[in-house]
Amino acid sequence: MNRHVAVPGLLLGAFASLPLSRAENAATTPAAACSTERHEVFVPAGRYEPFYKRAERRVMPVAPMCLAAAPVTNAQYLEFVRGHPQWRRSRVTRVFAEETYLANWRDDLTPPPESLSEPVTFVSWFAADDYCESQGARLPKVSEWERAAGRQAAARASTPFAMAMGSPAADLERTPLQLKGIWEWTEDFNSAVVSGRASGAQGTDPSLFCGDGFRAVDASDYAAFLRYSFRSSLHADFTLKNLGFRCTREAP
Amino acid sequence: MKAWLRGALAIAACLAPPCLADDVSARSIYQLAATWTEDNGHSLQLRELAGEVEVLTFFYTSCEAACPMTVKALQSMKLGPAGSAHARFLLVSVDPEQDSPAALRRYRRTMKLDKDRWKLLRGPPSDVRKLAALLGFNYEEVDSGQFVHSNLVTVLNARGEVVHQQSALDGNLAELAAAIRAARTDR
Repeated sequence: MNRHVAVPGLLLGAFASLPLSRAENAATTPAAACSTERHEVFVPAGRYEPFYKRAERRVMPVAPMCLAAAPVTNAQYLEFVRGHPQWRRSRVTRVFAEETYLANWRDDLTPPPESLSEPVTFVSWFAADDYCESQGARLPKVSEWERAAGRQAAARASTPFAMAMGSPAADLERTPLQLKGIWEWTEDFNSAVVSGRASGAQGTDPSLFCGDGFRAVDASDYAAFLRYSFRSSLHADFTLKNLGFRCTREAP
Repeated sequence: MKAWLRGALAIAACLAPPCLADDVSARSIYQLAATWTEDNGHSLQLRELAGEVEVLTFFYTSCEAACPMTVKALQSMKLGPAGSAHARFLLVSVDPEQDSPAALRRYRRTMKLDKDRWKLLRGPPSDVRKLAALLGFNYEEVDSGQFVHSNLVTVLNARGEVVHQQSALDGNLAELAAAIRAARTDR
């Protein structure tokens, strides 16, 4: 039985199983548009239901894209740092990355040797944004990330915390899309107006996400709730041990 | 960027005094290299603002609710005549597609914004997002031309460092004025 049908209200995940004529059309001219050399996954047009309910907007269309199959690795980031010295650990401008920037690297140009093919973490939003720009790409928006990897995976044998790191959408299950058990930066991580700092320094904003959960589209989607909570707690200079990124670009 | 080029740019930014003698502080938002356009059509780098205390807030000209209230609240502050112990107000549009320099000029007229005290800026969307990220300002286009956004007002000292942030809509303008005065004396 299709679990999207069996469990009512799985809105974040359900769009992926709905008939999408645009997606099907796009899928006939598909992956050729994306580069296998760059390890991209073609993500057909889809839809995204924002986690927070608003009268003005329910379902958003998401354009087809070429999404990196995996997060950027330490080895890839090393190449970037070689070519962009302003992103070396010793030279980075403090306002663009806090003190723990690349904290697990031994020095400016030495990632942990055993982690070369692991996702780079301890990178700020500014660093991630600049990396993607240097590749002729950009960070995915929340809507794009969620469309590709935000499938509700309640039926999976997994902890809610691991699930929160993402599950490939149903139509991407047979692609090489990899989710590596880390959080990932999104271009508009700071779009949800839910954090106390952003709404004023007082921290008494009634729309703080904890008190606002009842407005969620699907309050049972705990993994999505974790992601939204996490994103809204970030500042762009944060560099965290379990926060990496991948890039995307519009499908040509 | 090559060191000599950076030096040349720093000198170029220093043609109009007052300005920073040495390079911009590592904690300054003026580190953001982006080119903004004013309502009068002039282009502007943020580091050209160094030397003055700035009160920065985001807005968009078609905003009907919070933005005009924020602007009016800031206008109502008693800061002494322009030119003496100056604080400047920067309004940065989150809707650069709609907010052309002409739209910004109309807004200046409608809101009666003093030429010496208020600067209205638009910039490329990616730079708007970077500046917003630097300041912890959240916004999102929820419908074409309508934005949900926080009502954050930021005070920048003469070096472009964030020294105070608050909402201008909670009525506590005395706190904001005190932060501006403190920033003026911190040079």
